[in-house]
Amino acid sequence: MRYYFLGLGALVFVCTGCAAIDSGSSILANREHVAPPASMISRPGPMVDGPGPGVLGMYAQPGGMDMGMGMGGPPPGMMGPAMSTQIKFIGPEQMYVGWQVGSGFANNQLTSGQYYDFQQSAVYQIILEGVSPPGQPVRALYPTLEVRAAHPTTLAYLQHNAVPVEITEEDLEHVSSSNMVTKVIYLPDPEFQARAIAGVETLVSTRLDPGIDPVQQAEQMGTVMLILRFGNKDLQPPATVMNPDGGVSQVSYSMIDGSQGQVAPPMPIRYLDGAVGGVPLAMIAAGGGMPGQPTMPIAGMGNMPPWGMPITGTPIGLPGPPHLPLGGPAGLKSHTMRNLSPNHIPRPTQDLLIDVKHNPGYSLPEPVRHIQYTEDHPVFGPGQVSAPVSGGGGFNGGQAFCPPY
Amino acid sequence: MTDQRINCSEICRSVPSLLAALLIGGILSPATVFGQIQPRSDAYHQPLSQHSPPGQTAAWMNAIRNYDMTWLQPLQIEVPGGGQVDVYSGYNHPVGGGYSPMLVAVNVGHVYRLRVSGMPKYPGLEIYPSIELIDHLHPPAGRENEFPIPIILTDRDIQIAESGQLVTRVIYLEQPQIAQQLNPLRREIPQAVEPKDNALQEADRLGRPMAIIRVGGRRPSTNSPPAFFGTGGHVEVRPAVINETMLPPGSVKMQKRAVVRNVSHEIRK
Repeated sequence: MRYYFLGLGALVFVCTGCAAIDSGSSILANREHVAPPASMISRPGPMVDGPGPGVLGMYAQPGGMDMGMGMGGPPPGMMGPAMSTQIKFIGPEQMYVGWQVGSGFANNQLTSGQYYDFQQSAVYQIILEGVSPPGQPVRALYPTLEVRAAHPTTLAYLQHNAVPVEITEEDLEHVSSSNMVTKVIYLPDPEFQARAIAGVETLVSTRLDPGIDPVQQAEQMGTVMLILRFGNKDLQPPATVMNPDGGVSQVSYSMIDGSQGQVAPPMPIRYLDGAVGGVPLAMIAAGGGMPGQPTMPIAGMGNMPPWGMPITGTPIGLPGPPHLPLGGPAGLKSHTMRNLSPNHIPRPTQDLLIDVKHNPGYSLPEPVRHIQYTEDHPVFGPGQVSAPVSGGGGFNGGQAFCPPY
Repeated sequence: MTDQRINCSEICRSVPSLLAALLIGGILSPATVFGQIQPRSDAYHQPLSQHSPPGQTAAWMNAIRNYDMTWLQPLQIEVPGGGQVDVYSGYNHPVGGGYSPMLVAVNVGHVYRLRVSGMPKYPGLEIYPSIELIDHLHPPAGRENEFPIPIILTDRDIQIAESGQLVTRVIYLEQPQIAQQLNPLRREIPQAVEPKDNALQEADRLGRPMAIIRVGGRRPSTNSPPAFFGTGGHVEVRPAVINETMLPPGSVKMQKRAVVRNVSHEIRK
């Protein structure tokens, strides 16, 4: 019978004993403490961090112009966004670049191989002169240049590189055939990059199958930076107008000529949505009081704070204390929202349960709960302590202080 | 005898079950289960990478570590074939300059912009790389200039930048346990970093990331914002210290101490 117990003991040893012996795999065995990442420890804690009084910002936003030197706080250390995209026109060689300025045009502002910084989130009407397909007379193209806003994935590239724009002979042949050409210049995502060195790619509509949008195709593989659309439409056709005296004069479109030293920055013909950026504040469209009149207490107007904009990042709208130890779980156990409006809509979720788990879990030493401090002092009776012989002090009649034997 | 036979039979009957128990126990033992845990180095999420916006890593490190603004980390900037190096820091005028190799001490946790010009090998060419300094060394007091972080631009960097591409380098300090014996500062070490890999995390695994170098072909214009030129850290040009580590590329020297490697994020064809 005892062999059964021997087998049972061996089974228990095999199942549990190895875990205690192993020191490299088990967390519980070697009492190893696993702290949260440093980035998490540096933060007050989940659901407390966020914009508001007395709390840190979640992320340092790009574009902070505050240098922060010697101001008592850490400098932002953040470069501003590339609000302008530097575009380099690299071909063809005899090309001259101009753009629309208001209601007129500025011709010959750049030559092939030069670059210019275009403000982002805008569409420009540019003029490409001196381009022609082989065997055909030189003509001008009037593409629209859509400059997309910088994205976190393209910020580094745009801050360090000029985006190349090139008109190829194939593009010119399509234009001569009355086709519209759309060139999308994008920065591929790392998944679609063949090399670790970031470089732009260009999608041309004429090389895609019919029905495929090159912009959507590019957005699936990366982040679009430029869109160039052009056809054979001439925006400066030679035209004549009749004068009041019955004479005929030719219309002149060109107002500024770069070959004569006249330069003008390009003016966008349209701004893209979201060019202003940010989320608009909650605001009520109401007029403010005139000077001298009583102020109307309308949220979002004057000194009244906007309605519906929480000042803290916590779901309950209250700033919470930092969680100790830092990086530990939040104290909020339940967050319930009940919609009691008499609307005929489906009931909202009343209880929300989110299970999260990471491995290995945090394991910190138990905090100190009890400190017991004891001092033992020797107690001597009268005559047990004597002054030193050579002390010469006033203790014990001027005798030396000597420990009792 | 009877009892012994019974015992023997019990043993014989119990052996298969004992072996089965051992086999099952071996399969289900906690040691085996815990042995399936992934390596701890990959068990955390690294939100930063070489693709993060320039300056974000430095800003986070500065916020976490609260770097001493009075400490200046020397950088040794080298250009292939020599050249003029000017340093910008939050303003469109250079705050210092010198001829390569140039020694400059700067604040940690900031971004700086360089202008490299006057290169005999590339006449008329100017490039504007940026340096994002995210950590610093701990040299002996009074000998800081002898241990600069090398910022080495190669011919290939310049050629790639001029072709309209972006070169990103992560410079890290090797762990002494896995540091190579050969001085890697003077040569190019190809790294097996895929484009979608996190070069910053890889550098963190191999050592301590020090700086992120980005080399592109963009040049500033008259309307470039001040942020283009960096974040305004303090810059101090110091006399260069010429030592044996400044030999031409290819002169590999034996090195016993841990050195800063200028590698990572190289081409993977």
